[in-house]
Amino acid sequence: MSTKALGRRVVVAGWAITPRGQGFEVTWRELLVQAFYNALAEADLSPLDIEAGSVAYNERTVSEAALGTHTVDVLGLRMNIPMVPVSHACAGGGLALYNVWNFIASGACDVAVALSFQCSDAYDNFECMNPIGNYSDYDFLLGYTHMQYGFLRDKFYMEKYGYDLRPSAQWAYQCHEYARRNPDAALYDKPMPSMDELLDPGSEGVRARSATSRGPTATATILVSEDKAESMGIDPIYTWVSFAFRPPYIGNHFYYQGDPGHEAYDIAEQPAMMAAARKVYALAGITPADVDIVQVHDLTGFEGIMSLEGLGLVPIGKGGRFVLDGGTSPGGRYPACTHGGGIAFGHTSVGSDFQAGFIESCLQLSGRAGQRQIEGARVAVVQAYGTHHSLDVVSVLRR
Amino acid sequence: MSDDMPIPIPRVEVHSTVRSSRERAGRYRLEGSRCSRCGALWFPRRFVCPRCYSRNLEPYQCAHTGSIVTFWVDNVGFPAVGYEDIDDRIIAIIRLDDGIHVISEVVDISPGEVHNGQRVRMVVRRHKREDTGNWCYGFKFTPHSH
Repeated sequence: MSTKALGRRVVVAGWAITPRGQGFEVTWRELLVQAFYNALAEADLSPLDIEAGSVAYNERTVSEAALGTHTVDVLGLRMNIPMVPVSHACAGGGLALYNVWNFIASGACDVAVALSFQCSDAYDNFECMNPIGNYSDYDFLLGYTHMQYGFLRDKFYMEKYGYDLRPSAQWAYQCHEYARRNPDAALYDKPMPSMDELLDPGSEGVRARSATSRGPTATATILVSEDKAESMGIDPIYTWVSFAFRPPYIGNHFYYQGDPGHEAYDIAEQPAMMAAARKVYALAGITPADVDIVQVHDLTGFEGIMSLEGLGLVPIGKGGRFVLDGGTSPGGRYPACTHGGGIAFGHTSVGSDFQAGFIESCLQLSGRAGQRQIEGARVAVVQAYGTHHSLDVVSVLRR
Repeated sequence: MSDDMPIPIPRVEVHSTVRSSRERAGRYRLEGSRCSRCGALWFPRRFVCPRCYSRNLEPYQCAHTGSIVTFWVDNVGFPAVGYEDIDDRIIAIIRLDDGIHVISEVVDISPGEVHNGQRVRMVVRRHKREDTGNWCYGFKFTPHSH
């Protein structure tokens, strides 16, 4: 794929994530309005400034067939605004941002918004995830779920690279520590778990090392062209976005012959993430050595660790050791998931997982991350995946 | 409405029996595809070869024996719909003897006995009851001593 620089640089102008704990009375329409208008206020823009957008959702949760028009309608935007809906599991929010980034970078417009939400009208939030799968003819119909895939992958990673549960428990513990410094995290005001609880090999331990539900959530991120940012007087945070695929059937995550970039790998490595990272680093003109902080999609502790490897921040198979040595702690080389991650900030599928990390990066790079602020952070990387790394989105933010 | 004719409950998202039937060769026999040009083997079946871009693929019955690469004993409280009454369900990645990898339940063995590298063979077993009322059948794997 070409990595030639596009003509225009893209700047983050505003962002918002809805408050946690809104309960199940809130509708997706109400959530989108909260996120969008808070982001507009952050950017000091008017709804009339928005020229285009993209909205991510889970098609199992909302029964409207044309979500773009509903989104324009519910936000009160002009009806000539193109609003592109995307549904791609947990990476959907990243794809919405990818669309909007391309709108700006290509010169199609100067101001655009990426939206995403997780809030169910049609099914409850757990039920809606069951009848979908990586390859539903061979997983949903045969009774295999995305959570089973994750647990299977964790165990395989441990076996392949010789780890016990300690790296995953350490990752989870660190997420909990960051979350206690983040009032917006799902577990902000909950008791800290002990390391013994996190090391429990039984089902309670598995749950403790896995993602927490944050409940209904929406996000909005407003991107603008560099010229527009200059006219607005914004101290710019530049951003670049890329994504790549791997085959959706989980058996084809082993030595897939259809793409030379995948033949050497199995489920313990993430070639789509590697490809997306290489491309976005090239677009941004950085290397992993330039990165200061990272927000990854950690639905389990080992997920986070594998993502550090996929992003090229640590060698393949060495992520567990890196975490045990404090590499992702506040004083470490790559402080990771500083908002609390999926484990303690909370997992809300398309509504939060990518853009929550993106928004945390904006807060960190602008020095507004409060008690969890990483001093001097200037380059951030954000990653999220959908349907078990059959899609990985990676973004770079640079101040 | 009488007891003999209760008020029907509308079910607007019942999965299609046609859909279930379309992939029966894959689910019952592990039928995938072989590329007639480059010989690459694929599962599930494909309509174009991503290695050589040939659209000339033929049905291929995958090997019915293989070895467990890794497995997970599912007992953490999030079972798949239709499998709620199965404790300690064993879910494994299996490398078939022709090199294809599949995900499958492993049956006829206790979690304490299963191990990586274990030889297994394919069997057709009942899965869950679909929301049409039909039972879904498909492949599982069982220990194989040969």
